[in-house]
Amino acid sequence: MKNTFDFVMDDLIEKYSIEDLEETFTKLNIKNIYVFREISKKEDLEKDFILPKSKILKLKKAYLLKEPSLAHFYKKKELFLVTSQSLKNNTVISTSKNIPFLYNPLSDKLIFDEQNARSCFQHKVKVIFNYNLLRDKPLQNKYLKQNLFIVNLLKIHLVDFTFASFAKTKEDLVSRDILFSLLKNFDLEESFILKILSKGMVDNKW
Amino acid sequence: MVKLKKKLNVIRPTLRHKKIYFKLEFTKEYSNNLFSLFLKNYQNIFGLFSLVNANITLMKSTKNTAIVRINKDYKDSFLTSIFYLKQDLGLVYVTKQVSTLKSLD
Repeated sequence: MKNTFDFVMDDLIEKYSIEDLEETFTKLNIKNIYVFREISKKEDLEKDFILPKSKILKLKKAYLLKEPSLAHFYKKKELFLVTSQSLKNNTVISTSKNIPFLYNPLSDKLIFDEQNARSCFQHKVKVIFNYNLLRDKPLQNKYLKQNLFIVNLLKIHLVDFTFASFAKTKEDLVSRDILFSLLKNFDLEESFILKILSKGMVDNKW
Repeated sequence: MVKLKKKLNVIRPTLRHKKIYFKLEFTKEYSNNLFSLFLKNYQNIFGLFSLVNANITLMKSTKNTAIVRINKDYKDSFLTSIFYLKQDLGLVYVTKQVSTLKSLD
């Protein structure tokens, strides 16, 4: 697999040395890493964070906004995602012209339907899933069931989507081979899986 | 008089299951029975019939590594089952996937 990527949280970069991370990500076959800082208030947007330098990995800064309302105040050039996790947020984000990525459309109950999928297609909003939610009990089965349904909806309505780790510790990371095999259980073709796991899904540079 | 068979015929190559070997490395040391962990976890996710067809065999193992043999058609299912062993094995690296045991060395 070429040009692979992953989304990780800044906690991971702070916990381990750059040499350790270089070895880990090389073994996992991941080259492009987007490091996310979580933004819950408007004031957090003014604070900057610095990434360590690496010759092997391509590290980039990115921001994870907890509320759609924060998107109005976002003026930076770096990539940003907006967290959903509720019916209201799903509708707001999927109908927004200024928000490029919807993060986590899963919850205790199903909150993403066909109308949301159509809106995402119309407004070119991409959907990002966190695959670690499928591993953590006790809501593991609920999330998996919703995930299978939503992926099918997105496929039918030609909405771009992808999966990432949002890792805070090394154990949250997964090898690209294992992720590829996991996604085959979602009824996706091999060529399609290679496409969604490549960096072009994020930056539109295929 | 019917002659009784004393030996089973050699199974011809086209009928034999093609196998694949994985070399796995994990960050957490697992001191218990690794083989039963793989089997129970796989059965939990894919069921009894799939487990029997997959024919999982643990060739060698240490506290941090394992060499596993599996039927080639069930390669993706096995890797998917490894996805759910985060609490037991931590981060799992799939260092090699080869079709012969010799190529692992």
